[in-house]
Amino acid sequence: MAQQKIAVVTGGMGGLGESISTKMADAGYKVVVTYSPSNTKWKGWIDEMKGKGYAFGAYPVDVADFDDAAAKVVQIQKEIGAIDILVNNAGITRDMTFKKMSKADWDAVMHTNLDSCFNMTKQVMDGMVERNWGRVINVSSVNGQKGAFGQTNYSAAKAGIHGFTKALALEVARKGVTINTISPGYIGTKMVTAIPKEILDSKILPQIPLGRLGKPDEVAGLIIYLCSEEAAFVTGANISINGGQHMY
Amino acid sequence: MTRRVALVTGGMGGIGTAVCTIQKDLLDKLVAGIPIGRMAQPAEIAALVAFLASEEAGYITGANIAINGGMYMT
Repeated sequence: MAQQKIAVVTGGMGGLGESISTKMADAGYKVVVTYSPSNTKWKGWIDEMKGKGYAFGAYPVDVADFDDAAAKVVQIQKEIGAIDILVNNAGITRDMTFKKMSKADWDAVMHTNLDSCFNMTKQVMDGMVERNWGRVINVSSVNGQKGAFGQTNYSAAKAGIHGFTKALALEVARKGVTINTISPGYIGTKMVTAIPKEILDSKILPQIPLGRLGKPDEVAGLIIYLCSEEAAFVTGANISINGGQHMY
Repeated sequence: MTRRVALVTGGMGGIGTAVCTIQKDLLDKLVAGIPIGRMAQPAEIAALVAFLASEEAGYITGANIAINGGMYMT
């Protein structure tokens, strides 16, 4: 019987992260979630998931901090096992016009959303290459592809993610490791559904040919496909999942 | 339960058919240009098609999904 593969999902308790974590567990992976050290509700989430039959490993990791990422991944690999799959899903927004944006607002988003990809992937890549098998999925955004008013920091970080994906994909292609970006559009997470209905209906939904928000489970489904053996020929790709909102 | 019907045009052919007629030294040169270092298996292309046909892929539309072993990245 094939050994159960271990997947780490950063930001695994968030709106998208929870779907990714639960669907991957349903698909048979051993899932470890990371959460922000400032998250005070992590225990409640773990208990809620236990009630639904999920036994996640959970670790507080400041993904914006290289040293913390390094220490925590050592801990995960010691306590759970070698990491086969990394989903770089953690991300924050600090939305405001460029005119109002401070260096701190820029740095926070760049460090959490982009540096995190380097910080976490660096800890797992040697092992994946040594075992000749690995999957890294970097979660970008439609706004990394097309830009968005009020998101110079977020758009830059999300766009930068794909540059990282392409370069690393070239380096490890012959080692059985694939690196891919996914670019979700507007997905029905708590953050998005909190947007006032009149703005959602008048400004956001009209941009989406499918006429609806994406479901977090649909993003999870794409990630599960990319993790499969059958997706071994997909690498360096940026897969849009946006209801047709942005095509190129 | 609703049954969905898939129409596959050219369903009797095979991805490998045309490739087999290319001279070996040229084929070797082509494969050398693919970062993964091999050609795709037809089943890998089929798996992507099957995924896109699934309910879970209902939010993917208008996309151009590269499945090329890293040969061309955009």
